[in-house]
Amino acid sequence: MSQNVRHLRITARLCLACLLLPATAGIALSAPADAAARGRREAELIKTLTSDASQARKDLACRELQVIGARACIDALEAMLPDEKLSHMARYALESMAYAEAGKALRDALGKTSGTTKVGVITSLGFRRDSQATAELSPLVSDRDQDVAVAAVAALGRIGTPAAAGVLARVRKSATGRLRAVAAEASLTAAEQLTGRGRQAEATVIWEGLQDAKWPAHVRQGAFVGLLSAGGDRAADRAIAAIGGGDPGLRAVAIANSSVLKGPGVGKRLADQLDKLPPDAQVLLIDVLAQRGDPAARPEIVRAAASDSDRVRTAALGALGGIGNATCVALLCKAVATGKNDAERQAAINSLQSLPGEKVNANLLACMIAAPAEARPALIDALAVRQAPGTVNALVEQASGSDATVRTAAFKALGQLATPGDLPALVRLLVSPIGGDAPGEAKRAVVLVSRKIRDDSAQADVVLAALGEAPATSIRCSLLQTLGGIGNAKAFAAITAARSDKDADVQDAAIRALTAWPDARAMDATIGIFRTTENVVHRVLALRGCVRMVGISVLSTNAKLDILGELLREAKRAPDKQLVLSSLADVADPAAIALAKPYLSETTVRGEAELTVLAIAQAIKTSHPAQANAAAQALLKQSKDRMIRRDAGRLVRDLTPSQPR
Amino acid sequence: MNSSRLSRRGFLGRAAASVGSAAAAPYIIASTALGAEGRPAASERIVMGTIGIGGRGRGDMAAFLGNKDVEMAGVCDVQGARRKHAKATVDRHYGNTDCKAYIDIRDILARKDIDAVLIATGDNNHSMVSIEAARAGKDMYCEKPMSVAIAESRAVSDTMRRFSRIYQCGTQRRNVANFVFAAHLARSGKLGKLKAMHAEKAWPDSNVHFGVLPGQADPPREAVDWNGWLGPAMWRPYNPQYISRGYWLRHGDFSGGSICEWGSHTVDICQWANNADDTSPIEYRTINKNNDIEAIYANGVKLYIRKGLRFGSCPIRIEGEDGWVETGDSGRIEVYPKSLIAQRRFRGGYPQNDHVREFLNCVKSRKQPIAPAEGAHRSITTCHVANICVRLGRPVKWDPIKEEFPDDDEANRLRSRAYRHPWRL
Repeated sequence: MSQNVRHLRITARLCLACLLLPATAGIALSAPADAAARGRREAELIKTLTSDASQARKDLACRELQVIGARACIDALEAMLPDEKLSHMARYALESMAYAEAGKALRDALGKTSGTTKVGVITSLGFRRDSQATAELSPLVSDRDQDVAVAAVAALGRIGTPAAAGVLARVRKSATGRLRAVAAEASLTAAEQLTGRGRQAEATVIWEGLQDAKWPAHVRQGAFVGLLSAGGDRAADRAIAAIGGGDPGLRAVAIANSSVLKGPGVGKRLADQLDKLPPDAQVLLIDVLAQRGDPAARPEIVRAAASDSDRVRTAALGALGGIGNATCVALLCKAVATGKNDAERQAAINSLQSLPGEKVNANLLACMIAAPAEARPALIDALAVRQAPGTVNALVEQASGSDATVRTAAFKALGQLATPGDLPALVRLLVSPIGGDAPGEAKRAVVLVSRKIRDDSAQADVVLAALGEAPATSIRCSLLQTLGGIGNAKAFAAITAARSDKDADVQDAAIRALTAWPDARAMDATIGIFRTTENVVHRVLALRGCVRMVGISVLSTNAKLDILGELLREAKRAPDKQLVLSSLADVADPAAIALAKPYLSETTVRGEAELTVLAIAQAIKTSHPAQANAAAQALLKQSKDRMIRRDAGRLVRDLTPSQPR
Repeated sequence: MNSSRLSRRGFLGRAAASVGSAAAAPYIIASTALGAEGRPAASERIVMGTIGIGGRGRGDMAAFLGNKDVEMAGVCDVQGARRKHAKATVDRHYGNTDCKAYIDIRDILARKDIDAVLIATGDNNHSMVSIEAARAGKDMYCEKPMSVAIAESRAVSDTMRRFSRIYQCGTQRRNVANFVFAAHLARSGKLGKLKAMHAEKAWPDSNVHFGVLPGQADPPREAVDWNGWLGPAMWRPYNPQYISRGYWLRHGDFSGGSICEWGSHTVDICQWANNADDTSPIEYRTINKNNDIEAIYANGVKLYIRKGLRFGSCPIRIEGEDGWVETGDSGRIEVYPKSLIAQRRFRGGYPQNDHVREFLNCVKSRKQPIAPAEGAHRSITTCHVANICVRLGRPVKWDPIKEEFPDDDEANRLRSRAYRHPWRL
């Protein structure tokens, strides 16, 4: 069972589960629309809270008051705060109320609660960032109940006023154990609050204090990021010091956060750290320098591209794609030619494809011409990806060279870069001695460039002219295949004529071109081939061509059924029948089911036939429910495939009127 | 310390303490120095714990165990059967009995040798455990959805920043090829100016409920730690039905229903596609009786959270002025114009392996992963705001900068829920 099916099944079970929810699930939690109704509802809920109703009912009342409660309910909620069982849900309602009275209720409860209820009240005051609670919370940081003290420290951190920060500073100095850890966290929180209030200097003092080695690594690292976020030259100084420092964890954090550092010369200063670092850290820093895109870092990156470390070299070569310029082309081309491993070569190729700068294309072209044959295909690809102008002549030259791999790459690039004006040169290559065994890329290149001609009727002209002058059979066959790819009316006429050629190879090329025609223009001709040919290969090609063309044609449903029906009846081999059946699945008509049905009992194609019938039945379930139902019922009864039975069963259920429960 | 248990954390700590400068010691000990055959050296291993080991947790844990630089040192679950099964799985994997099993998250998080945790508890506890893990200095891979309320995931994101922790949300489709391709088409402008995005929800009905079941006698803590299972949520007497996923997934105290269940993935991909990882739509309304949602981003792009897309579970559809793309977990993808798809084929499914691997790399590099806390918070906020719109039965407006509903006290109250002792945001 696929992961996907499993996921859908789980969801189906969840849908079922929703039907089994208990009666208590239907609690109204949306607010009444008008103020008067809300007031009445609030009064009812207050009544519940002040009655001897069960805890569950009071809990639910609090939940509702969280949304609709006004000032009127605050007294009732406050009265619940000291009650260990009810306190949490009273806070549930009070905590998110914007009323000052809600805050006062919580503050007043500090003196009426103890233990867990007091901890809860303190936590709610902290959540509300109730600065008025600072005075009451401050003494609690030394409460004998450590849970209370911890909660008070945490709350002061969230409140984050200068006064609260002052208390926290004292706790940081004196606290031990759990309280000390919470003091660190609260201080980090307070520093953020102070920053938000524009009190950057006070925040910086906190973060600097938490840099001390006595604090755990995550506290130091968090404080360090806080200092970097403060920005300015000091931030860069700190980052560079940490990168060059002896704490590997802090170094990694510093590098990871250096991409956003600002200031004059920061990129250069960061790059200057490179050669002082171990290889793994160099890789991280190179990545950051690339993200920053500061050209000042380029010399160091270029130097790193010659590192002894494979990983550093690869990272540097990759980084040059963004940070390099035309002067880096030779270095990158050399890496493509002589790189020590695939990763390094690929990094260089990627960079050559994206390297910015005016002279890059010219330098790359020169390097490509001078490069050893084994490196040239990648460099030619890079030129193509760059859509480098002014390279066609050189590529034509490469396409006529002696190295087959280079020729293939050059033709591929020419398909993208050449213009209709270059077509005669390309076709000359195709009909030259090289063209006799021209790679598929050569024909594809001519097709692609021909199709760039805006006038559809002129797209095949250059190739047709060459065909008229071509004496050799192999060249004529090659040109006919190319015409088939171009696929306009003139090409069609030429290929139709070639079917009557006295040369059997030319006839074969014409038939292959027709059966592979890119649109439905060749449908009739292809059906004709299917009906008349005695050549087994041509018959199979024609059948496949017909099926493909039916799929892309705008034929009527009846016409599609006629063609596919004929193909199905005449198909001899199981793969051919399967192909036709799969195409039949796209015809949403009951007659298509009738065509597929006989094959449900044919062992070799039963699976495909079942899928076809199921797909058609699903497609016609709205337009022809009775026929869809009958087909699904038959599959449900006969299929040995569990998934088919499952989907057929679903379809039957969909199509069966639901019974009252 | 036993050398076979020497952790990366321990190594970094020792290096920091004993090395005066980078030049005084190698940054990383050569793998041949400490590594067993086929495994990285202990200094390069990430010592981990798994918290919450139901069906999803088992799958995630297997993905982590498949990485040789992971050493799973402990497992934690409030349910005894799951705990024992997970320990047995880990022990079988390593051929020893070293894995420790815990009931209480605080005990596993207190282990100083653990660098990172996988969190796959029920949704209700995702935020609370994430925050506690960060406070304990751990990095984490946490399953989706990130939170049950907006304030929770805001707190998670803030806490991760505060302690400079690595957080990868388990929205692994950000590392699944067909979804990545779809998002890339949108982000690179190949679909033209975006117009609308469609994110499928898990089942037709968008409502959540707040049912209370009849109480039963508490089970032994070894079997089910009921208080631990409830976490920060409202206390209530034990009833085993709560623990059934089919129940809690639709309960507002424990999850976010249909919209959060799949929206945490599908809305997340849409946000990513819309370059909206730092924001959420600003207007929301329901559009039919199933409470499907139409939301509008500040850049005018519409987001529909609904059913009816194709291609298996968690499908999305993104429409621009020049084209569209639709895909889902079946791996099938339809793109218009077809030229945009080229020759690409996708396998389908929603494997987490690449997502897990990326997280592990980030633990080492300290770079932010593809699904960091802030982005995940924004995605799940979109889902929560949609849920609040459904719950209030009226349109709502959202200010993604202030993270509040402008002039809407009623809606603002639903951004948070008071945590039950001893937990706090």
